[in-house]
Formats: sequence, structure tokens, C-alpha cells
Amino acid sequence: MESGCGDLGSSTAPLTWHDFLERMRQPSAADFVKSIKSFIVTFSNKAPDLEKDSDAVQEFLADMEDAFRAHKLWAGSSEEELESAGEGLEKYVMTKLFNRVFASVPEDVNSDEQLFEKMALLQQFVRPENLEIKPAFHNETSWLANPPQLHSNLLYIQRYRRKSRLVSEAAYFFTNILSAETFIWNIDAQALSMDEIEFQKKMNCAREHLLGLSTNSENPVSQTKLDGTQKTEEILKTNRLSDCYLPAIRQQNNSNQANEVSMNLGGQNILIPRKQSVSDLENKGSSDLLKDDHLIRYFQQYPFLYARAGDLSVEDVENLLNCYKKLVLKYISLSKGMGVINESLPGQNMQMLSKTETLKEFDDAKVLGINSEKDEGIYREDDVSIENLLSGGDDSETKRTSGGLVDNPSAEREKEVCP
Amino acid sequence: MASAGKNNSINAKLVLLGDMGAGKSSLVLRFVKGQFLEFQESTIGAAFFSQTLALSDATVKFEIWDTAGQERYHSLAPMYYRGAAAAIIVYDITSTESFERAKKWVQELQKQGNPNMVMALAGNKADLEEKRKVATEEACTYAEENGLFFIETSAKTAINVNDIFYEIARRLPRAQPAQNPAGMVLSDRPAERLQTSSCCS
Repeated sequence: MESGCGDLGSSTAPLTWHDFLERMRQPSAADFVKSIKSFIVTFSNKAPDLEKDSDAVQEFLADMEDAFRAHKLWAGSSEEELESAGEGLEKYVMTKLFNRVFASVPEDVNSDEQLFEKMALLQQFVRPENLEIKPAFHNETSWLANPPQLHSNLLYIQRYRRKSRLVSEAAYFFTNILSAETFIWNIDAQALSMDEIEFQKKMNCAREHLLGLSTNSENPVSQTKLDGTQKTEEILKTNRLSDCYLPAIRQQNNSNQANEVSMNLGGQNILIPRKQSVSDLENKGSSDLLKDDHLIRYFQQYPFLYARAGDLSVEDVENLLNCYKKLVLKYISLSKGMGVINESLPGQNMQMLSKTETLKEFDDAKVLGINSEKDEGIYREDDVSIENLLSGGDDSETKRTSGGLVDNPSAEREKEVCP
Repeated sequence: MASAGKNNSINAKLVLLGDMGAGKSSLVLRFVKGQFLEFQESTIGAAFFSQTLALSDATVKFEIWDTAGQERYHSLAPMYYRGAAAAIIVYDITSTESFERAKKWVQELQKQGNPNMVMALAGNKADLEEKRKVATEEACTYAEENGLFFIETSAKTAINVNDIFYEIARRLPRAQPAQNPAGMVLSDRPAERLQTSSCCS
């Protein structure tokens, strides 16, 4: 599934993009068009090779830029115009190669997941004070941001942004974010001016909290000691951000929870192992959430939570689908990690239905002449003949539309990473 | 890396390194904006500046990368000094600790930095003479032994701030020897160096 990147060209650098297409339309550009297509096809048909891929693209872009410079199409052109042409070329080539090079190997996908998790854990207990950050910079939105596929995005820029353009101030800011990533990968007790044991404790707490495990003392069935429960609640609230509350809970588990929990399922009393089901955890989590003073914080990273159907654009559908897939993956992984099986995501049938509708919507869009494929999408505002010229009959097109579950580019992200 | 364009204009990446509070950001602010803040915030983010200097034989555009001096960010420094044509290692003359840290930076750059990097050692806060802990001679001897250009500066009073950047600009390799007579390439001869009262002789 491709993301709708339809307004990419016109919204980011209209002149650059237009200029490039304009020149490629000239008969004398036929050889360029041929070279570009040939490179894209050849590259797309090769298996990913982290060592060579970046060099191959960089070299091709550099060679083409040199060729532009020497060609009569650009005779008498200014440096800016040549620069524009280079940008246009880069955008064209990288849009075509995006699925082939972005998060396309398991290492990258794994790194994305790991970094995402580490950030999610750290965000639960690292405060700006741990890094001696002055109050003026205590911006919660950026502090609690956890952009998905951050690692892959950075790698993509590092590998495929034309090196001659990733210089000066752009290079400085890119280095800042790269170093932030490195810093996060390497965060340990020392980096946070924390005691090693304390750090480990907090990481463990955060992990359990993230999985909902830290709140497992309050199974509705076994909840008998109200006093104790209330006490736990207090501990939860006051200690959430400052210290680990787990020992207190563990203690409580031992005192008021048997090793087995009796549950009433469909009229039958069934003894199940103490390990809680996903829905128990969910219930517990939601009741906890409601008591949280900073409830909104948890929802800030889910842009669609408060959206209505009418607010959504076609691009959002892609984005949503992507989010849905991630959510499912995370849910399944969490369930598996907890050893819980045979639990389906609530409302799964409904979601299957909506997925079908999504597909149907795209079919409709095609009938209406709205091409939902990213590759074609970027040209539709320009000229169909150019699109035919550049990529018509390019049979590698269909091969690249088979993105996996996690590496589907979303429209939003596409805008961020497209140079 | 310094790169030459037309008319011998040079783009040079310059990185500032040194202990927290030594005055790296203050030096840059003084040089680029002519400003000084008594309580400069710690550097944590956007600290990129560019400043162009016109020399007799070239125009040097410095792309200045400021860095965070906190020890916890030390391991990230290679990402910042990678490809730098020049580095200013800053210490605070009222802190022997910051001088020791400066030496560590020098060692690190000698080991891992660009071998052609022009390095300058800046003993900052020279206006605080009464609190001085690092003797000028000591720093100067160290600088000579290690082939660094050394000067004491004060971002507060602006003393020697422009000078250190100009001197670095003079020492940057001129890109195309063919365009320059050999004598001009060697613009960093001792005789042509900036004479500084603070340096040992």
C-alpha cells in the first residue's frame, strides 16, 4: 500500500519540482530520462545492501548533476537553477526508491522498535532536571515526543540525502538530532546522573508500567482489602514519577492474592493461573488512567483519537491504516510477551470491515481518476504525459508496492523525510 | 573541512570544544554578534553560526558549531568535530580543571580529528586576572609543545576574540596551490603570526 503523497511536489518546492519536470519533458532530455529509469529499475531489482546502496545512489545523483551541468538544456543556467535540477532529480529518484530503501531490512525495523521502546521507557521517569535542562526548555511536547521509525528516518537522510546538500547549517541540525539519537541509545545511569541500581529499578518499573503489569494488584475478583488498595493507589499516584512503587505492590500481591484467580466465565467458575488476561490489565489501566492528573499526556501521540470521520482526508486513511497495523502488532506482541493467548483485539470484526471499506475507498478513488499510489500521485498535478514519459511502462512499479506491515510510509512521514 | 570556492573564498567548519562554563558560547556570541551575556545559558541545542572574514588573500566563511560542554555529552563530540577544518578549545583561566579538560580535548583531536585541523587554545575569562589559576606560561608551553595556536581571551571585554578567529582564518590551508604562489600558502609562518602579549616567547 502506498501513501498518498499527492501534494508533495507542489507543497514543498514547487519551482524546483516544476523546473525539473519541465526540462525532462524536452526531447533533448530523452537520454536523461532513460538513464534515470534504468537506474531506478536496476536498483529496485537488487536486494538491499546497506554498504553499497547509499553509495550507488549518491554516485548516480552526482553523475547526473554533472551531466546536467554539461548539457545544453542548462546552458547559461545559474547555480540556483542547477541546484534546483539536482533537487528535482533527487526527489524523483528517492520517491521511486523509497520503499526499497526505507526500513527495508530487519535490522532497521528492529532498531526502530528498540529505540521506540527505550524512549517510551525513559519518558516515564527521566525529567529535564536529570539532564540539568533549564526550565525555559522544559517543553513537554518535545520532551514526550516519540516519533515512530525515528532511526530509519535518520538513516534515510544520512544515506540518501545528497551529500553536497547536507552541509552547513542543515548538517549541524542533522548532527544534533543524530547525536540525540545516539545519546538515547546510550542512556545509562551515568548519563542521567543516577545511581546504577536506581536506574535499573526505574527502567524495570517503566517497563512493567508500560505493559500494565505494575497495577496488577487490583483484580476485581480478588479485591477484598479496600484499605490496602487505597493505599496502593496513593503510592501509585505519588510515586509514579519519582520512585519505584513496585515493591509495595508486590507485597500486596503476596498478602491478598492467591496463586490462582477464580473467574466467572460464561456461568462457569474457572480457575486460571494468576497471570492476568489482557482485558484485566486493560480494565486496570483504564481505571488508573482516569485517576491520572495528566491524562491528556498519554493521548498526545495519537493524533486521530479525537478526530471525526468527516475530518479525515484520503491521506489520513493511509496514515490511520498504518497506525492500526502498528497497534495490532504491538498488541499481539504484548499479548505474546505476557503469555496470554487466544485473546483477540476487541472489535476486531469491525476493524476488518473498516479495512475492507478502506480498500474499497481506494478503488473508488481510482475510478474517479484519483490515483492513490504515491509514485503516480506526485505527478498528477503536473502533467500526465510527463508521468508517462518518466515512468510509463516501468514494470518495476508494481514490485515496489508490496511494503510490509511496518515499513509503509505514511503521508505525514513522507513529507518529513522527503528532502 | 575547508573548501574553496570562486575567488578564493573558503568555507570552513569550526567547532568549539571545552569544559562546561568555559565560555565557548560566549566567545562565539561576542565574535558573531558583538554581544556578551553575564549569565549565558548552557548550550543544549541550536548553536550554529556563520561569520565571514575578509582577509587579504581570501574570504573565509566560518561555519561555527558550538557544542555542549557537559561531560555527559562528551561521547557525542566526534559527531560534531568530524570534518572540521578548525577547532577552538576553550578553557577558563580561573579553573585548573577546565584546563585539564582542554588538554584532554587536544589529545582526542590529535588522535581522532582531521589531521589537518587548525587548532587554537583559548584561555578565556582573561578579565578575571585576580582569580587566575592557570598561568599563561603553562598554557603557552603546552600549546607550543602541541603545535597549537594559543591566546588568552575575554568574551566579556572582547579582548582577543576577533583575533583568534582571524588567526585561524589565516592558518587555514588555501585550497588550490596552483592559484597561489607557494609563499602565500605558508601564511602561518611564525613571522606572520599574530603577536600576542599573553604568549610566552
